[in-house]
Amino acid sequence: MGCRLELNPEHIFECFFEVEAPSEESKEPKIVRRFPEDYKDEVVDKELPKFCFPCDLSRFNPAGQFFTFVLIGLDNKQRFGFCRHPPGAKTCLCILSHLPWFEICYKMLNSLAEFKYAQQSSAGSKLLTQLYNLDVPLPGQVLRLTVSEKGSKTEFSFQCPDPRALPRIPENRNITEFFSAVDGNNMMLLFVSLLYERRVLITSEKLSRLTACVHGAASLLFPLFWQHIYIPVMPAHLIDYTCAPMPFLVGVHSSFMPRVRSNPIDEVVILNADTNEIENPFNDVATLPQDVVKSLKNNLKNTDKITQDGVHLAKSFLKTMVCLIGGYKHALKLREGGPICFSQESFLESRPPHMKECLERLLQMQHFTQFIDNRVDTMNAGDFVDDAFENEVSLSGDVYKEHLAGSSKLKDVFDSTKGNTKKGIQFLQTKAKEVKQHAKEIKVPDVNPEAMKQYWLQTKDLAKDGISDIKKKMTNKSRDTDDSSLDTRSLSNIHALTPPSHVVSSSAPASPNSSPQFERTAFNKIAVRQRPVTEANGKSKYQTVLKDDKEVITEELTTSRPRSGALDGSDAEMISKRTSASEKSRQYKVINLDETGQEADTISDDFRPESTHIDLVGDVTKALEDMGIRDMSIRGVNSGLV
Amino acid sequence: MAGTNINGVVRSTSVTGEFYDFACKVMLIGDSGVGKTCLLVRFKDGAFLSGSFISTVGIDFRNKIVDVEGTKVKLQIWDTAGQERFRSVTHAYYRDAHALLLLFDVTNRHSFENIRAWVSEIHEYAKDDVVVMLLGNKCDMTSERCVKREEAEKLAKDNKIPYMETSAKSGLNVDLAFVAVAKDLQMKKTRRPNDPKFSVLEYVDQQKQVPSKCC
Repeated sequence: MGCRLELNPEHIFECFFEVEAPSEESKEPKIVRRFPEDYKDEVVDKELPKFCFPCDLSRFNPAGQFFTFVLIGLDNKQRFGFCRHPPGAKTCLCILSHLPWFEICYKMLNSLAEFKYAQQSSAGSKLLTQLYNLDVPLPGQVLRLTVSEKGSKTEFSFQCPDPRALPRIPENRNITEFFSAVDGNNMMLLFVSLLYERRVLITSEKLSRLTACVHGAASLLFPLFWQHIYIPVMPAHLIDYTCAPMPFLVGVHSSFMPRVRSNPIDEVVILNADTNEIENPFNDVATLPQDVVKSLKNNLKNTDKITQDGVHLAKSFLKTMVCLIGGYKHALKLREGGPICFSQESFLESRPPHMKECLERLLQMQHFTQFIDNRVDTMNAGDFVDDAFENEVSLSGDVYKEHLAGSSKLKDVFDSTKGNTKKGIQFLQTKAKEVKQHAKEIKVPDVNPEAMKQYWLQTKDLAKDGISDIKKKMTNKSRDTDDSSLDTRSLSNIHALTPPSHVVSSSAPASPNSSPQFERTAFNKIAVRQRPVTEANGKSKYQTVLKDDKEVITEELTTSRPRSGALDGSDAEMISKRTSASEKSRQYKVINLDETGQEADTISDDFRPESTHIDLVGDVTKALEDMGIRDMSIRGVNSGLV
Repeated sequence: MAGTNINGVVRSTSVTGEFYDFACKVMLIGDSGVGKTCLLVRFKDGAFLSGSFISTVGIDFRNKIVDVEGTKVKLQIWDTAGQERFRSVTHAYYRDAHALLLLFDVTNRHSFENIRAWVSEIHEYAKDDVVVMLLGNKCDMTSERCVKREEAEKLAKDNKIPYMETSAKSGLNVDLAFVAVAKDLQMKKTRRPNDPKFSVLEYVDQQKQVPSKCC
């Protein structure tokens, strides 16, 4: 998912090395032991020793050190070099692995060092052999290994980390060390610098603190992943890379800082992790939405909570990311007969105006582009992403709405567009009447409360979709868009009015060809309820989560190619929708009648509610009441404008 | 960095003690496998790098000082691996480059076809005054060539950028490519209003060698 990890490594570790410090005879550090012994990699042989001794460890090693360097392969995947070098030691132990298992590898290194100092090198080899031959365990799996040597048994156990879990204090070493070295404000400055893909340099006199801060800082960007140069600790021969004209995130031992500063470096954000001082030539925080900044600041100020609730720190940044980019789904589009794609314009339009500057910049960033590309690819491949970010998006509900509620400025905007909104409501009411007419046409046999509830929920969807559609159409109209290939409907608008099967007569036509009355209706999309989901029908495409007061509904949309003969060759999308909360699945057929122009004409040009998000449930309730549908007590229904 | 004032320009000393008048950042871009690293090694060390060269941190750079009519221009040439994993490369990538050498492989049609995308991205994201040059590399491999020189010249002309064919193996036009960049950058930096305008396009046309058809 845009991360640069090898997703299915063959082994827990690739190779173990013991590297000897440079001595008077040999100026270069050299590998003196390796496991597996037949491991051959010319580049690793040449470069790895320099990373194990990135600075003169005989002079700068105030305490026992664990640090982790990163090597990048030709495939751009990261390999981690976990190192253990206690003060005064002549050798550095290093595990090279594709897995970001910091704590486990440090623990392994400790065990290996114990064996080494107890002169039980064969026990060390036994442990390495066992670990090497294991299949990579599943997340959460606990592994216990026993090494017997000369009658004594040593147990080595660990729990395989869950890559989906947020980094926790104090279990996660990187983020814990980062938090103890850097205060909230500087953490935020660093985060924003990374968000805007600046050149960022962290320096420390302790290698453990140095690499922990680099890895820790990068992890706060989640769900984004740093795509540029990433060198958590720069060995002497790479120091001039700090002149790079492209973005980087690097760690430099403090002994090299004079050399760095003598180089023609471009503008670089420099954090001294020892003194918690930051040199920042930019004022990037000012371009971030100030409500987002304020809430992040408040979260970071609460150090008690950070130490008590282990994930509070990671979550504070995750919440910030949710506020900034959680709405990306509003900008996903379905091309006519084509794959899902992301519309930058819709993304900017669908977010509050005070976020525009920040989001415009984010759209220019590699990590965000990569994030979107990966999300869209995943959906188009029939899969969906289920991670801490998506969970947080669903828990926070409509971020946009939160912003509206929280910002008084926006309230003004909202108030000023209220008049226009009324027009939208009128439009919806007209539509609702048509729904009524339509419902008559399809003959409602018997109405039961459960069916009405379903009907209601779907009508509510329609209301939202209606507003979205109107908004879209008006925007397009005023823009004279030439992007004709782009279906202007947001993907989230696809699930339109869908009378449940209880309501629709059982003879509801399966093919739109046999339902002329559907074609006549003014709705440009009609969803016909089909049978409960059949897995074979199309691949799952898209997961969105609606928050309906307390009830969280997870939807999974399914699209497939139009069926033959559907609507004289015009597109027909099969959309299936699954309510996971109730484990019920429904499937819809959406027919695009594309009467956009006609509908747009029915609303005056000044109706442009794009700067607000409005919950029209209350008004739709009224519209439904007008239709004779009354007295519905449904959980999670908001009334009035939010 | 020691700065001494000689003839109006600040002359600096690099870490290695060499004098130069100003430093420029040049970036090599293009699809993977077009010979970016080989071109860099040929220019810097005058040698052809055979076999694959892997940078351990995904980036490589070389410094070389080029003398342009008495002005010492330090070219800092950057070569990053893995750009190809991006569907599009955003501006952060080129943000601070003074010159971009855009490479394709004349024996790889696909790498040539991607040039249009690279060019449009450069136009969209790079600095306005960035120096861009199109290089058709591996022109020594005559029998495997599948991009005609005329096609590439037309593409370059349409985009108003100079084009030349290079061979990291034989060294053809490699020095010229970098010298032309240095010259263009130096002219942009030091040209006085009344000085004749320097056209890198003309310069390249005059200087470049056309690869012989039989080799």
